[in-house]
Amino acid sequence: MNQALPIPFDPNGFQNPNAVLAAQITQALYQAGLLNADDQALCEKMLNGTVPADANVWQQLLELPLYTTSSTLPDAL
Amino acid sequence: MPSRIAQLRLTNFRGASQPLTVAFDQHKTIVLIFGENGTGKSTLVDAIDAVANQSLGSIAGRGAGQGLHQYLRSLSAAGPPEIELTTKAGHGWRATLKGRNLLVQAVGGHGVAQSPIHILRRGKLLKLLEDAPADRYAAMKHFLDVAAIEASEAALRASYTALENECKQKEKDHTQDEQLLHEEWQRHKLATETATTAQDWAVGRLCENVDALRKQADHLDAIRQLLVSLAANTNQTLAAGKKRQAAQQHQQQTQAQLATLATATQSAGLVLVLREALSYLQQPGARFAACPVCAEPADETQLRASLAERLHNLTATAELVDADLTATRALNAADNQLQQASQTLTEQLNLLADFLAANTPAALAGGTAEWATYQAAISTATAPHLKTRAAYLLAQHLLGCIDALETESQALAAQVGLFDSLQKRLTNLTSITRRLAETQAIRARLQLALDIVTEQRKQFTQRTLDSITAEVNRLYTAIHPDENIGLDRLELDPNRRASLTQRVNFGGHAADVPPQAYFSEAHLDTLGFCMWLALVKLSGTQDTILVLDDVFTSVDLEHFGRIANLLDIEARTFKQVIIATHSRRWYDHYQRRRDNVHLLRLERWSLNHGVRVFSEKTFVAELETALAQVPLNRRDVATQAGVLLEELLHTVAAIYECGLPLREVPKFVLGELLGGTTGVMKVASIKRLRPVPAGSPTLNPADTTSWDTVAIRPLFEAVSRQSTDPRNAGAHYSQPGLELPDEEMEAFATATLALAKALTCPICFEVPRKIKYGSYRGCACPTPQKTQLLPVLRP
Repeated sequence: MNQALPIPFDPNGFQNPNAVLAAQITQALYQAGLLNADDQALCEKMLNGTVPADANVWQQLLELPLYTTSSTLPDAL
Repeated sequence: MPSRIAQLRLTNFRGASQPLTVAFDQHKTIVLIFGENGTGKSTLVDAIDAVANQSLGSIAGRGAGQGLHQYLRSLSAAGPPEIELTTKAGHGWRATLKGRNLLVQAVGGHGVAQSPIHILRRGKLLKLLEDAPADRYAAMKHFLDVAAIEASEAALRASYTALENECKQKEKDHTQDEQLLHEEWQRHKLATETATTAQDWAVGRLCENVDALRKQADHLDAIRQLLVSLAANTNQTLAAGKKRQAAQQHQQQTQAQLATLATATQSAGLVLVLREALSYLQQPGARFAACPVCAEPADETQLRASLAERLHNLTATAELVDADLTATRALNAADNQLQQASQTLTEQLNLLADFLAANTPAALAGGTAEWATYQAAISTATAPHLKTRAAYLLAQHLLGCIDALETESQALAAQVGLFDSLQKRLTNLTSITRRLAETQAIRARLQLALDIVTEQRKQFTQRTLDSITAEVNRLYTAIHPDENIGLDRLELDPNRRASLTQRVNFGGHAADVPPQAYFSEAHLDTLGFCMWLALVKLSGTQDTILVLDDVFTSVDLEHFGRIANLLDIEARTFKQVIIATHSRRWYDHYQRRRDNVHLLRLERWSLNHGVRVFSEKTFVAELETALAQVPLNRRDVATQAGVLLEELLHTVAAIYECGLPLREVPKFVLGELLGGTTGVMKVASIKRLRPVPAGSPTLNPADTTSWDTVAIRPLFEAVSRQSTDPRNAGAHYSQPGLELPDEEMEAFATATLALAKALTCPICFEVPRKIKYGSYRGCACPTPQKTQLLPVLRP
């Protein structure tokens, strides 16, 4: 902290780029039909590091068959 | 909630050799600390830096060696250095030395967070531009660091790679299985089969009735096993026959020997009778008083002895008798064994006949005559040996076919084995094909996901860099309009991690070169400042305080004005902006401004007095204060009003290029300025958005009723009528001035103040000068809120 630079950032006024990008990527994956709606939260957490990123979890997340509109699973409700 | 700095208190710190308290006006966004070199500006900035950032401030990084902390203490100070910073909200923080480091603690333990305070010093102005790409990345890391995303992306990539390897292995297995099936096809395909692929061939083969094949194979196997058993029995029967033949020959020999004995003396029958009699007499517990044959009285003991003696005398005959008996028994036994073997043989042949009746293998199809002979013998022969012989002969014939049967059985087993093998291989192939397709589908999803994540990350990073570039250029263009220079692009080096390169635009040419190569010193200073300011703004500005420590020394008057205007506008987005400078331009610029600046002036430093700070007022504030004083200070009011009016008219004359006397050194008296600007001022008007009370909805700039129009003419005429005498009363000795009533003096000053307030924007405090859309001159505010001055050109 004895230099004027680099710029210290204000945690109140500055959005963590990981969080911003995680939300954007999750939305892109969802729009590409790779994610179920109710998996988005987990995906976002895994991207922004809130939950540990794991190769198997990624596979499970993207491997799951998508719910159809006639599905009785929660996403269809 | 963080708030503005309200007060700094320095004890034994740097230049503050005497206790110093500096108060900042809480109503002003900008604080200008003006002082000539060596008056203590850096001491004040270092004090803020120490509390806000625990920094050693300006003495850091200047090659002052180790133990810099010791230089924080003032010369000849008795106690340790201490700084206390208090905010508008009343929260304080105290910085003291602890060992070699600064320790900052909240005064009273309030736990409130400080506002982020960004300090830019002259020495660091070019740091971002001159930094190595890696250091530049470090400076902007907060915006670009997506380490969590990268870690997650790496996990996704690992998942994809694992699946890719799995796919390759499955493809290899699939190819291998296809090859094996192809080899089976080539090996076993028949000329009559028309399949064109190994799989079609295998599928065709599997349509065969494998149950019938399997049943036939089992049938042949059962016959084969029966023949094996039959072979054993055949041998046994032959052996039994041979044994019986030998026993019969032996018995015939003993019979012949017995036939040669003298019937009277050596009768075999006598031996048998004597043995029977002796055996009878030797019964346990028997007592005889007479001979049991002739019933004559006899001594029992003597009788037994007599019988034994007689038998002894017939020993040779007895031995022949015994041998004959043994031979007869052996013959009977052999006979029985032969009959038994014959019986088993017959039963097996009958069982075989049943098997063959159900299905006759090709190997056994030629034995019709042998079977007929056997059947005839079985049904007609009376002597057992004839049946046995017929069975034996048939069995011998059948055993001669066993190799052919074995071959036939193996061929059938091979056919069944091929079916089983094909079925297994085809099932396996189908399963691998299905699993491969599934894995490939998942791999495709993972690849798509990976592509999306990677692309989004790259786009995000570039968007962030582009937004920094855009903000830098927006700020830079405000200082250097129409010069077509600035930052062209910031981009991450694709070949290096955490490395940020910069391209500059110079006269429309984008080049991957450091700006130092082409830019002048002043241009570099302003570019460095704009990059720093852009990063600070993007870091979040709502609670941020900026401190600029003697930053601009190389810019000319024109650019200085633009920088000052830019700061006036940008200052509104920050909590507070503190400018420390030795430039009198800054001081003069802000002193002429009407409202938004708190001026602090530093007087010459000495060890005895330390840093001395005095609060000063702008011309407008000074005039307002002077007008409010009782009794009226005529000289002050006249001087301040005169200076303010001259500065104002000078500005208008410059904007409209009014006619004024040409002199080697431009210098105009008030009368000349009034005369030169009369033509403009009589027709000029100001339009500005009507102010709304706090909390009320803002007015729509597109609605003409939202604007107030102020005619300048009456205000200008008011100052023109009374300008000469009051001005003289303040600046010069003159009789008319001395005789001027206070009321007129006050009226002149009030009119000047009214003209100043009318002509300047209440937000940016600038007289509108830039021609906008050819229809009005606008101030420095954003377009919807611009104060408008008409006419555009001098009439």
